[in-house]
Amino acid sequence: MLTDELLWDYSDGFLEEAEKLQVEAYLRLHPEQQARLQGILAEKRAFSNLPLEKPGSDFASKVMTAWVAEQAPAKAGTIAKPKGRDWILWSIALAFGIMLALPFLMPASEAPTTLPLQIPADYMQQVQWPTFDWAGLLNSSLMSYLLLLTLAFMSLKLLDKYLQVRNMRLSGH
Amino acid sequence: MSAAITDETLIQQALEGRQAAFATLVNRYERYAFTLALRMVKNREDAHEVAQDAFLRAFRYLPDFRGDAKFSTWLYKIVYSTSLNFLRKQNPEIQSLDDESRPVRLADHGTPDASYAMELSDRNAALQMAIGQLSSDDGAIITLFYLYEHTLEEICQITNLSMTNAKTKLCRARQRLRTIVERTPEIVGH
Repeated sequence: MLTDELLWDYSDGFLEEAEKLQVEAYLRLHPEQQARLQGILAEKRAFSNLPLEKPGSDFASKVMTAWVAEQAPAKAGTIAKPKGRDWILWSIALAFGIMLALPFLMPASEAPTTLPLQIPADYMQQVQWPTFDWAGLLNSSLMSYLLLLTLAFMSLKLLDKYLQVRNMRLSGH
Repeated sequence: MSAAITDETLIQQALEGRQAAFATLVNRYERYAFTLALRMVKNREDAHEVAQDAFLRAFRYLPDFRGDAKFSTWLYKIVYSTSLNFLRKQNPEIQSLDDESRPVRLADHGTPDASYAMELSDRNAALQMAIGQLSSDDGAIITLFYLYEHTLEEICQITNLSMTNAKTKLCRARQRLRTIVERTPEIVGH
């Protein structure tokens, strides 16, 4: 028995090859069923021949007005700035890089061996100046890795920002 | 004369900055975009806004159009997603247009269009009405398949559905539409 659902699937091309052949064979054996298929095809034609909805005579002009208005600030921006903003980002990145690299570039300074003031020798043994091994800290491998990671992270963030600005400019924002 | 110019040529001209090319694309596809939007949002003013937004988005992202699909498929995908976003703003509880426990119902939609269509009292108007009574998703998929004659592959690209889901949705939408059509004397009595 050929259901309407099967006939619709057949007319829409949803059946597998074997099923399609079965339907065609059935229709050949039962020509009176052809009328059902023709009815379905007529309904499909009615759908496909439906007129499209009209948006209104001023739709296109409204779209173009909005599009031109959207593009105008972007064009003005590119005219006013002969150079892009990229150089600002790269300058900041360079400044950060130099600041972070300075501890590696500067020689580690030693603690002063001579005191600026003359202190009596009697007090020398009692006064103990607090010291910190800055050179040791800065030269330690842990600090080196931390600084390298920070440099890498900053570089990636700046690259991401640069690409965002570039994509926005390409898309017309 | 503009009908002889292909979409690819118009896109190339638009990317070079020729405003006339943009205008031609709008004129060529405005009715298709508006009809699809209307099927989903069910209101002419909202469909107007959605279709306009969709065109602006299409122009904004035109440099990203790779040409591996038809421009119409790409545009309808934007119209579909813009309509979906519009519906979600209207009703934030919507998770899926296919959620039958939460059918998409927009207040006071359809009544002005219904009275307008019924005044015409012709079969086409009745068919439009019947499609208008479908849910947003059903209306969209019926429009794309039967009216725009898109293939299932193109519908999958537009709606982000898998082939199986698209076929199932189309079959269900077709059944629902036929049920409405059978109850409509203006169509059946023809």
